[in-house]
Amino acid sequence: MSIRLVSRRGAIGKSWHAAALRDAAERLLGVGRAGSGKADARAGRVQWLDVEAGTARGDVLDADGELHQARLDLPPYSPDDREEFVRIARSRPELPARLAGGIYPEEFERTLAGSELSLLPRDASELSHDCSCLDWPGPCRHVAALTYVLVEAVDEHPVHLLTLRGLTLEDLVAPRETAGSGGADREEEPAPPLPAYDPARTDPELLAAAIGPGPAQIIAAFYGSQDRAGSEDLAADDHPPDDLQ
Amino acid sequence: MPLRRLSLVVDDDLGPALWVREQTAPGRARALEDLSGLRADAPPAIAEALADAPDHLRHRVRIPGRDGDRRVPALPLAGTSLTAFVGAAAELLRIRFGEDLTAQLSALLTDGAAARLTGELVAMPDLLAAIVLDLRAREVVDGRAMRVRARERFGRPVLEWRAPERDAPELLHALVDGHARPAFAEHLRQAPAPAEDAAGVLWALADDGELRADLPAQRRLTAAFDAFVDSGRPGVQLASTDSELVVRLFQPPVGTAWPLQTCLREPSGAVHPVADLRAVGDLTTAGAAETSAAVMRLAPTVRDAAVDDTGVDWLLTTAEAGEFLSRDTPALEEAGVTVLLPRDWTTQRTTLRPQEAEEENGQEREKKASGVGLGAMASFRWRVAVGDTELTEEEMEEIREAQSELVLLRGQWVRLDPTTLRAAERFLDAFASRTRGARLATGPDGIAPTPSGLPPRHAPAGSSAPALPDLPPRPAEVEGRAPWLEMFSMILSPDAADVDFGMSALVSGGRHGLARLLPGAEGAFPHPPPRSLRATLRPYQLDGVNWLWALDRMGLGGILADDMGLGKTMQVLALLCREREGTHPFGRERPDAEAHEVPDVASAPAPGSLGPTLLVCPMSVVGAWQREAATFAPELSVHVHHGGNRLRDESFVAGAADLDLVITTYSLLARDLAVLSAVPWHRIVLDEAQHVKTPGTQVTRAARTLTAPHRLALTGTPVENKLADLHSLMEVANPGLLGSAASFRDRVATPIEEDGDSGALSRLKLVTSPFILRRVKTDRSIIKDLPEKNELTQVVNLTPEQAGLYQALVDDLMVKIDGADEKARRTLVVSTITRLKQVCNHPAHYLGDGTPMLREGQHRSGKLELIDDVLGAAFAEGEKAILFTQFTTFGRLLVPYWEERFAEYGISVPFLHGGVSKHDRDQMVAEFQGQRDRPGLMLLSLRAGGTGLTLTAANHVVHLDRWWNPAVENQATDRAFRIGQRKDVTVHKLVSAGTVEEKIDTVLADKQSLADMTISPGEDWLSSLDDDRLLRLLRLDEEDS
Repeated sequence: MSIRLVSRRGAIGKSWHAAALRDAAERLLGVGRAGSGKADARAGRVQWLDVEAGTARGDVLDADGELHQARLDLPPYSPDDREEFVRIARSRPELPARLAGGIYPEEFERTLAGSELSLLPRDASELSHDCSCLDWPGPCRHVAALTYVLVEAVDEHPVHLLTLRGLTLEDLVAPRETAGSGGADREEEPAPPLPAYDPARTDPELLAAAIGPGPAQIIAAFYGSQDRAGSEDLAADDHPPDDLQ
Repeated sequence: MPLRRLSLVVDDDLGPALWVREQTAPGRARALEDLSGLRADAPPAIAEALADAPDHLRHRVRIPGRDGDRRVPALPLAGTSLTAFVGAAAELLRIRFGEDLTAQLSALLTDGAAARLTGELVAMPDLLAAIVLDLRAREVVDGRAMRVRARERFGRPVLEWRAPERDAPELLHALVDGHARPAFAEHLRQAPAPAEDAAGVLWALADDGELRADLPAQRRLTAAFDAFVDSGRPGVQLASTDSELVVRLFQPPVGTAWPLQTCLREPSGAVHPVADLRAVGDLTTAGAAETSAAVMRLAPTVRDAAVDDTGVDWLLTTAEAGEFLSRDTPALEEAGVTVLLPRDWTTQRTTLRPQEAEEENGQEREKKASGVGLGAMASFRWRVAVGDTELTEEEMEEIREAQSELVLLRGQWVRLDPTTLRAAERFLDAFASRTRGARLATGPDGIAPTPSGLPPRHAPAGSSAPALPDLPPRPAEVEGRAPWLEMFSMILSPDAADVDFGMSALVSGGRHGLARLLPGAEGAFPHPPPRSLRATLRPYQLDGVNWLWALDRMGLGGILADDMGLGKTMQVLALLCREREGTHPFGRERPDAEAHEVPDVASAPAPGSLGPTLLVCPMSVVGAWQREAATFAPELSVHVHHGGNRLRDESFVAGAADLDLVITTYSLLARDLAVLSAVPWHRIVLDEAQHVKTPGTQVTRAARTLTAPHRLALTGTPVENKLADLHSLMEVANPGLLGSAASFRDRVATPIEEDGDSGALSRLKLVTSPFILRRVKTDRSIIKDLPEKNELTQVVNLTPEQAGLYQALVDDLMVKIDGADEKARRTLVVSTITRLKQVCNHPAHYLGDGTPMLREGQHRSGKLELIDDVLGAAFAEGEKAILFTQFTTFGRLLVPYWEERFAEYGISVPFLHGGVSKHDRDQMVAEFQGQRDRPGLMLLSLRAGGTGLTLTAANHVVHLDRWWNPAVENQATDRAFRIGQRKDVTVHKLVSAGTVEEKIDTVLADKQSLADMTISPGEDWLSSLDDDRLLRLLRLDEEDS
């Protein structure tokens, strides 16, 4: 498994926010590393990318066939920054859908700037990196390759920027006091009582896809899952495990 | 023994860890570094739980203190050692508090107090909290509600059992893991080993087995376990992927903001707004955002629209809503997203309503030397309507400027159908430019004179200033002038594609020429009936004669398509009479008529100077024509060109000049074409004109070859099977009117027949309506004196003998059809259908073995049994019946059978089929008709007897076997149900239960409703059925038989 970049030539990252991330990272990487990293990224050397709070990680295949664990860090918000960010974001109800749709509104970033906040690295110095290779202190070409893969991922999924800062889309929506207060003309729907959890209902097919039918069966027996209709066997076979990316 | 205080903390790195404060002296304490003392003094349960721990505590945990954090020695506890320790502490408290344990614990926790376990052992509040959490952890594990998380711990991938709530305290997660792990290990020992566990999931859950998964694989594992556990909770956490995406557009409650709502449809069909689902927690914010984002990806208009306070719904402007409907809706629907529009919201078609059509009257025509008939100049005036609303100029302008499919029209939001709207605009442009050309040609100054008879209208731009290009605003009424032929070809041209002329009648009709014949106009000029006709015309027949006369005077042909029995023959004879006596050119019958109401294009020619009319008809009705002409128009000199001794040379040509009417048959038309085309005919009439519907046949070619100034087609079914037939008939009546066969098929027939294009139908009707006259018998305003017709479809059972033969035939077909190529397959199926119908008729019919119709007095055919009853009852009342079959061989079996069976009535059964000579047919019909009120029976083959004959003496019609064409069956029925019938007519259509006959009967019933339309689109459905569907039709349905 390796990650194929969409971009074949020129700069990687089309949207303004991807470009901003790239520019900051390239200042960190320097011209030479950036060039070889870009080539490695385009060659599909990056095996996978994982983004979590503060860290983007990935395995990068070296020319000699060795895997290196590269990572690029962008620090999560401090509690104060986080509170301020959430306050601003919640005044923008459209933001979650925009982010999910691949759009990070530039004017929102400008609003953040008013509070000295940014989802993007404010400076190359805000980024740090690490790699399991011997090229110390780096940044090595593996980190550079990982960076370009991250840039392209962020291009399409700006939500990754939120993740890096330790936030989720859930954080952007204020919890509701009452249900269905969206509008008077809409059907009011009282919140249903939380339905009871029943392990017998669990569907082992959901596991079988990821861990194989044998282990799934044993785990299902542990949970006491009821047998389901045979047709779902087929459904599971039709859907190989999805790549998280 | 010193007092020891036990604390359980959760360290970021170590996880749960125990540390102990030992009182060394009153007011002095220290953190324990060595466990041996505690182990020695503690109750056995605690000691046992700590048995495996090393004496010396090597780990340190950070503890918040008064002077900042400090680090104390601690024992990390994980898995079973954690649960054992907490469990032991809980057990000690249970001994102390008994039943009150839970209540006491919560009281202690509320106070933040510690509790003594034994005399010298104290549980600090954090350990008490752990005891409470442990109860919860046991519940979680007993209820199998745990989640599983994969993660890296000290650089090593592991699987952890977790509490279901993601934000639960870390300690609870650790306790759940501690309980679940041994439980699962026990389960795993008893389960058969799985063939494959590539990632090592099982042992990583049961023990500290190695998990072989890199980071992305760990994420996948966690996600899979989450999905698995969540599937045990009904209804919650709808994933946007397993519910159907729905977008709902609302009309603006106020103003012009159109709410557009993102919704999900559950598998059960219920549609919920995403915002509501998110509010009640059935959908995560991420899920809601993703759903809304999916809409934005597919609907570019929405991307820039204003978002409402939910963040997932929008408020569109009217322009955006229009854009959304026209551009985005197709893309959304293409992607499987349902778009819900306001209830009762349909697109409104734009129609062009012909308001008025007029032809120049004779004086004007003479002045400008323009043509007659289709060449005459005509003016047309159109009005534009949306739905039922005719638009004012301001509204037209508004629609044009809005550039939107949504317009607020008289207080209502209307969604315009863009196709018909654009088509109407395009047509009016073409109309304006083409009629302007005609106008320029009429006068040197290029300005059209106001047509006389039309009051000047105030300034619709298209007519008053058409010379200026792109002149806004487009008028609501457009008027233009052009010869009829140009008008008609424009209406059928690509310029008019998708134009809907909406209504079938003009608001105000013209008073001159062809304009009178358009629907809604005054109709043909009313003349009195011809004096020389020896019959009283019914009012509708007189209308028909006047219509024929009007077309005739303009040199145009027509299709008289009245139902069988309404007297088409009589109307044609009346026309011949009238042209021989003439009408007064200035309307002598109506002295008050004004000069410009002169009805005729040319004054009627002097009697005697006319040439002969050639009438072509099927052989079966030659006698009828001859008789009716002799009876009702004895002044006409009639000649029948028929029989072996007919004249075929110059003498025929010479003799024809003195005749009024020459009757011949279709078969002779082709054969004697040379001599027939040598005669200068005045008129050609094609009776039963469906004989010339197939282009390319000898008869059709011959009919089109013959030339005459006047042409007329008669038929009871103008469009028997398809619109192509109408085109063929019109080619005979008015060659060229409907364009080439190919263009007619592409622009008119196919859109109507295959797409149900009402616009194309309206265009066709507008062009053909002056040239087709059709009245139907069931129209009580047309004919008041025809009795009722009762049609019965009678389902009869097969006898066992029939069922056996039927089944054998179907089985045989199944075997033979296997592996047959397509052509052979079709032949097999078609021939089997014929045999099946024979079996349904009678076994002796199918077998052809000469066996008797009855066996030991018992019926062998369900049909025959029923018919015997029908006939018996009819004869007892002194009534007559006619029976149709398509199988001559069957008829030959029936004739002797019935003559014997009904010998008491002394009837003979005449059998009229293709092999009977014309003379004998006439004889049969005359005898049958001659003896009314006596029992009687006539058998006819459908092909030979289905058309042209009058058999009104019978009031029972039996269709022994079914023909696949309802029009043909109705024609046959009409032998009895026509003018002259005095009794109610009962029609028996026999159908064998469970067989192909019954199954096709349903199809026939559907088709009947098509044939009832004036212009009936139909299709040759039998030949277009694929073989599988045919087989399904053929199979004998045992339950019904």
